[in-house]
This record gives sequence, structure tokens and C-alpha cells, in this order.
Amino acid sequence: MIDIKRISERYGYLPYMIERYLKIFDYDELFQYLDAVERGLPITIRVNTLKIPSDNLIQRLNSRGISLERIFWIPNAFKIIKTSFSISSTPEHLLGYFFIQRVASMIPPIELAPTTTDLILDMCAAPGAKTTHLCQLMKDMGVIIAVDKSYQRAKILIENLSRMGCLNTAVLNMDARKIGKLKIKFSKILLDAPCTGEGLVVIDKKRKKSRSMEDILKMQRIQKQLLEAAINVLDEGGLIVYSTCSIAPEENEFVINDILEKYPSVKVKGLSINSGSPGLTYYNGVNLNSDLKKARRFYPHTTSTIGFFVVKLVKEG
Amino acid sequence: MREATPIEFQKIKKYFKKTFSINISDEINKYSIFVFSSRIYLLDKQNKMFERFLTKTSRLTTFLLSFGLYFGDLAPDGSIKPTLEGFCIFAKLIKKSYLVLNDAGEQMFLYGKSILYEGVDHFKPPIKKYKLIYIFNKNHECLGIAKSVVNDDFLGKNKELHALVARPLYDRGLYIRSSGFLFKL
Repeated sequence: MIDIKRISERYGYLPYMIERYLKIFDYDELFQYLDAVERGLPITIRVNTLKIPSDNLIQRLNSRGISLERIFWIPNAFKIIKTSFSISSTPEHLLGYFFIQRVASMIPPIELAPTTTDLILDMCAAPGAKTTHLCQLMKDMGVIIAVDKSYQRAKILIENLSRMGCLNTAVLNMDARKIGKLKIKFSKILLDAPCTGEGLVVIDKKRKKSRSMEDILKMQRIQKQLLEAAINVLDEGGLIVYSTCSIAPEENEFVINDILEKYPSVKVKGLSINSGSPGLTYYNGVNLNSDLKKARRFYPHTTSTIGFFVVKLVKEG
Repeated sequence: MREATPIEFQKIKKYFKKTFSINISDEINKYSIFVFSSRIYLLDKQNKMFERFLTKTSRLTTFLLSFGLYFGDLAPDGSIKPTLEGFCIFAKLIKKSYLVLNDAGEQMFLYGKSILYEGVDHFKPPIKKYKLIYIFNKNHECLGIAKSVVNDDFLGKNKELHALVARPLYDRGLYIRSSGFLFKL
């Protein structure tokens, strides 16, 4: 008999979270996950190749006594091995030569594979890690419409776009659920949906106790509304990458499952990154669309990332 | 949103000619200039798609905060007030009247501190008192803009390490310190 109360007390979580984790992981993997959360994660950066080649930046940071290690499965991504001061205060950071960004959050822009002629919608864009990454992948050509509901956060997004030298982006301050009002069709959409941030527990231990099941369900409603809004403004043949920094199936596979049922023209596409674990097709007694195995889950114990979920959807004609 | 008028275009050129004695004509011709809510934005002329999109999509303006490069503001009196990036895109044209900071000076400047004599690696004359000057690091990267409080004669003769040389106006450290308050939109 598994003593959920004891485990939750030992690791400092609310018991309902451990109970749910046991429906995602088996007993051994649960402890691998919980122990990895305790160990934390290194700081990671993405080099802004719009401004500087990776090798030059690494050389400059090395000369400041900062040691870095390349993350081989993500282009231009490095983890900080050793630094005696905050890398955010380095001139290289202020000059926009790199963005301090979690590895997992580099996956959605790469999976969207934007080109120099795409019209991209980034639905919940602030503070701009993914938006500036999209811009970099597009070589600052094409068009990005970056939307954020919060005026203050949208201003931080603009500052980051300026710092990183992105000129191909327009920033809109609006609720992305109302994006249909603009009567614009997009070729590709990035929806890094607002979520409970359960996957961030590895960098913010307060989240072990700060979210309830009600919060998860509230976010699920918003996520579905956002995704429906995205589908309605997506070109036929267009692509949506949906991601969250939550490992809650209710905010991920269940959202996508409902969308797949409601919109038969929307299909799940496999990711190009060969990393992470498959999406869930069964959870808590519920069978989900079998294509959800093409989605990817990322965990601290398997990929040394925050808990993260990514799925790629295509709208067929 | 509208394209900048020829008069506004001239004003921008005149501002840089008068303030820094540089001719920005070739450089600014790489951009299309737009005015929106008294703010000036630059678009890369090579990115025709963005310009076409913006000019054809009138519904956007209700929610629009910013686009392209936020170059600066058009003050009610018609004068030009560039942003930090607005200044820095012309940094490569600056061949005189600038300060180059050493590592310690660079660090202090990026924290928003005044430039002291000990933080200056070298300078290019003429430096005139109470004028705007470009501030570079040793890699000749634009760190920001400051107002000089001394002239080059002083810089040549001074022996006092803590002597004040210039006060910061815009520095790249603002990106970290402002947290969303850098631009008044």
C-alpha cells in the first residue's frame, strides 16, 4: 500500500498532487521525478544568432569566467556550468546576445519551424522568450503578431524585442481569445497557453502547495477557449504548436482530446525533436485519442528540463 | 498608423546631424518610417511582407502597442526624441566625439551610474561640455548615450580618478532595471 500522505509530507507537496503523479508515473519513476525536482536545474541560455555567432559569445563569456556546456539536442542552447555572478547583468545579455531561457521553452518555436515568409501568431507572447526565438529562426523576416492580454507584460515583451533586435514583430495588447476580431488568417500559430505552472515546481518550490484542482480546471477552460480561437484563425494546412509548463493531463492531453473530437479536420502531427516521453493516451480511467502519443512530455528526471508539454496540430483542408 | 512625412524624415536626419554631426541618410534609407500615436517606428525595407501586412490590416490598430523598431517619439513641438535603440542603430556612423569605457567603467555605466574619469579607457575628440555623446565599450559596442560635463581639454589634463566626466541618459542596463517601464506607450 502506497502511503501518499507520507510521500507528500516528505517532499512537501499537497497530497492530491502525489496522488495524480502516481497516475502518470509508476512508483519508481515517481521518486525519480520527485528527487530530480529537489536537485533543481541549471540556468540555460539561447544565443541570439541575429546578433552574434554562438562560438564568439561563448568565448566572450568564458573570458568573464563563465563556463558553459552545449545542449546538443537544441541548436544554440547552452547550460551554465559555473559563474560567480548573475549572468543577467553581463554586457552580453544587455546587448541582446543571449536570452536566459529554459530549454523546454525552446522546443515550441523549433517545432513550429517558421520560415521567412510565414505570418505567425504568438498568442500569449510575453515576456518574449519564444517570440524572440521565432524571430531568430525567421532571420527577422516574415511577420510575427505577438499578443498578450497584460499591458505591463506586453511592455516587457517590447523591451525584449528591442534588446534582441527583432524588427519583424507587431505587439498587440488584447485577449487572444478574441483574435478572430482581426479577421486575419495565420500560417502558423504558437500557443504557449497560460497554465498552473505545475512543471515549474523544479525552479519554484512554492508551487508544491500553491495550486488546487480548481485552478487546474479553471486553466483548462481558458486553454480550450484559446485553442479554439487559434483553430478559427489558422489557414487550412496551417500548423499550431500548443505547449504548457504544466504536467497536468487536464491542461494538456484532455484539452487536445476535446479539440480533436470537436474539430475533425485537426490532426496531431509528430514532433521533429526526438526527446521527451510520449503524450498520455490513458489517464485516470479515461481513454484518450491514440494520436496523443505523438505529443511529448518533458520532465526534470528524463530531459533535465522543467515539466513541459508540447503537441503539434495541423488543420487539414 | 501612417508613413512618416518628408518633413518628419528631414527632422530625424537634422537631429542627428545637429547633435552628433553625422549624416544618417544612407543608414536610415534601409528602413521604412512609420508614425503611430506620436511614436516613430522603423521597418526593415527588405521585409516587404511586414510593410504590406501593416498597411493593409487596419483592424490591427485598435490593439496595436508597437511594431518593428521603436525608434523614438515625436514630441508635440515637432522635435524628435530617440529611444536607446534609435540612437544605437546609428552608432557605427560615430567616428568622433565619443567615450570608450574600460571594463569597470562599462559595468558602472550599465548599472546606471555616472561615468568617472577612472572608467574611461579612451575618448575621441572633440568632447564638448553638456553635449550628448555616444558611449562604447572596448569592443566598440554601443552601451548608451550620456551627457558630458567636461570637455576634451579637461580629459587630456585631468589626474583626478574620481572626476565626473558624463551623466547617463540611456544605458543598456535599463532593460534589466526598468522591467516594463522603459517605454511609455
